[in-house]
Amino acid sequence: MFSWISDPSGSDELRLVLVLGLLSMVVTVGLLLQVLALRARSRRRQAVQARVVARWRPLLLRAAAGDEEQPPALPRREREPLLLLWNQMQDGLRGSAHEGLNRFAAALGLPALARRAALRGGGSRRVLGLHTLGHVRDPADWDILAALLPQPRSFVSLAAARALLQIDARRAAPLVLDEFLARTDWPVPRLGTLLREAGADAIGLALSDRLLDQPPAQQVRLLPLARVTEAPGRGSVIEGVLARATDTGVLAVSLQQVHGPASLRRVRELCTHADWHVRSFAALALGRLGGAPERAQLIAMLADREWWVRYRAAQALLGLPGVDELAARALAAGLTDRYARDMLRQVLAEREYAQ
Amino acid sequence: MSAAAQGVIDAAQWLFLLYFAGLNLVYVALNLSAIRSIGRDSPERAIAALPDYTAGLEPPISIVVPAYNEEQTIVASVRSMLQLDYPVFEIVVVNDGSKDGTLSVLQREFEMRLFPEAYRVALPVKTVNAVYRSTRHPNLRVVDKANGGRSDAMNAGINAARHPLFCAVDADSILQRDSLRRLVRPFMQDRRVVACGGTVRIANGCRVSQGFLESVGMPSSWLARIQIMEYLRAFLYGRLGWSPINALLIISGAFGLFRRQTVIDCGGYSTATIGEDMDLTMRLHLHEVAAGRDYRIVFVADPVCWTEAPETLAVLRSQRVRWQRGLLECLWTHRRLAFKRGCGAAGWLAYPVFVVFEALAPVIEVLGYLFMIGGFALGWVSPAAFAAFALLAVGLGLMLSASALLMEEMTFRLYPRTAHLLALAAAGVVENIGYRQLHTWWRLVGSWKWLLKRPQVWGDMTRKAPSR
Repeated sequence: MFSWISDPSGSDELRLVLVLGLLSMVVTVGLLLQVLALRARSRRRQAVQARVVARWRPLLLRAAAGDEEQPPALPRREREPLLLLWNQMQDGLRGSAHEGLNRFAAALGLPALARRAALRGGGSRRVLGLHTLGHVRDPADWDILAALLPQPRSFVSLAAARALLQIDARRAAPLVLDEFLARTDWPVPRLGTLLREAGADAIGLALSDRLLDQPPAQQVRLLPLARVTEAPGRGSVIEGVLARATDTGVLAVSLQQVHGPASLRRVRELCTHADWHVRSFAALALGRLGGAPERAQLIAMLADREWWVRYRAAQALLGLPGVDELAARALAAGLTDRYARDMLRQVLAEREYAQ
Repeated sequence: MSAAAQGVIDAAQWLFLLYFAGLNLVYVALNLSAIRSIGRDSPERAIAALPDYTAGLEPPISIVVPAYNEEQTIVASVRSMLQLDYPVFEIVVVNDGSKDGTLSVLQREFEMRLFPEAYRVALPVKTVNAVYRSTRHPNLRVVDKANGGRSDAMNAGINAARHPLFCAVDADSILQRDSLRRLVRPFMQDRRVVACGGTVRIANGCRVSQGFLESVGMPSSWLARIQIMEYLRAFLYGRLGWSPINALLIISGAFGLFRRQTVIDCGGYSTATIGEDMDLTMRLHLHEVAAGRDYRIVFVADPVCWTEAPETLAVLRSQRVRWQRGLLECLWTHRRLAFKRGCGAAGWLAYPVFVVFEALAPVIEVLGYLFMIGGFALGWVSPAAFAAFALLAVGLGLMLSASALLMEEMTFRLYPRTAHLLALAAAGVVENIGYRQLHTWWRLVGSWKWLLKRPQVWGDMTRKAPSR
């Protein structure tokens, strides 16, 4: 079967091995040439980028300052680097400077370029286009952006969401939140930042509406958004969620945010919850909302079987009004439970180090 | 030649050919998977110049640094970690019963004082003598404990960790200033992620100052250059290839980020193996599958951690023998991962591939070399066939190295000079002539030692000064 290995004269098998060997060498050389070509292309791009920065940055700065001079012609290969530079400046500027840059962009035809990129570009060009449309804030772009919101690629859909929120946050909030609930790939912190940028007033109502009538799995996703955005009226909504919730995830997340004394009774109940995550957040909430009457409950929680509950209870206890260092040391000395005493001493030491 | 001898030769040839074809098919498949993954992430990299919308919202992280006899390097390492660009983090150094002045230099340099910590024993560890806390850096603590090995030290650090994510870091690792930000992204994007590894690169030849990498360079040692190519292949398409299908079987102990509670729930690091990082990754798979959870163990290709590679054959040999032993130990210990229901690609693809093409590779390869050389000497293998096979083996090896170099150029482009690329390409050639065969032999020795259950001698890594 393999006699060709010992007597290879004229065998097809040996020829095949040879051809494969030579082919692998040729592919290797091809790959290495591609490496060098990529390096050369990268150098060229860097040179164009440097040229664009040197030429256009002073003009953009003048436009941002309100100077309305007519911009020079924009060579084709400088379009994309300029769009990136323009966006970087937009992101770093405040107030009326945006308008100046928008006028400059309009004079150069950048919004039309951005529209084309948003609709037909590859991944990064598309995001750059969407980013630009967000800064331009032209309501005429609404339909283009809304159509891109359900894009499967999360970075494209998030860029569309940001642009919509920039154009009209109040109108965009329900759309964006419904899209968030319909998909699982949008990172909560990223959306939270976009909503915060848009302004708490604009998204508060849409968020509250959705928080109350969603299943627990969705409430767990929405609750952090309420915290990040600091939406007005969220306090009463969170109290409502906490009052009705039974899911441990929802309880834990809402306990972290509850601030009103109306929830105190519910928080006290949750201090004996079976799940230790809930107990530890309840201890913290108790320290935040309660006063002297909560002292006994927190002291009892110092003996909890879970380290984190003891730790949070000790932190909460030291935050209560009237519990100063002296009182806490006396309390620690009088504790019979070794774990409770050690924990209180640790948290006392932490406080001392922090001062 | 008798008919029986011819039969043996035929069978051996079939075995080697099939193995060779399978091995290269696997590599090509991993390569394609990695390229797809790079392609998917490239738009994100391209728009990295735009603002990061999640800055400041990252979850807090506990960095756990096991230290044994690290008197020379620990201060620079901790200093660099204290300067990491991350919103909230703490550093827990675990002095694992060092015989040198590791603890005293830490106490002196960072003004560590005894701290009355209610030490939490979530994972059993050797006796903890004391916990110290820095009066200058509130986020720095040192756990001083009896010697118990790296795993025991890691477990002690996990016990002391306060944050929901912990990052395992070797005491001599050189981290990028933004390494934690890059590594935490998968956790922020996907709640199912329980562990995330990052790319480890070779620091030899680079300029390091105050524990940070200032500029990337090329080492003068060919041994180090060859290891750069090895690491490029291992991380750029080895790990990046497995990650998209949730089939990573190892997250490097030098730098990895984990959900603390998940690691505690699956028993922490095992003290019974020398491949503790692979062991933990495999146990995480088994634990999450048993718990019926939809989980992800992922890898980010961003170069986040740099480590010094051995520049002497003796130290490199010791390292590779140890790695092979660790690999075999882990694969044997967690053999129930193989074809386990619910384990997905980790159990049905990665595990068998690791057994056939990693664990058994040294045996098959050495036999292959002996067969070809012996057959050639005895006249069973013709010079033409010998040359053709040598050409194919070297050619495929070179092609895979060139492919890794191309991926590096497509993504991070860390080596600034064209001369660096050419030096690495040359290292890829040199590697195939001599080094690869020597490496295979070391791995065979490691396999043999594992079979004999000989106690592992770690060997000393000759380190240079921390600031070069």
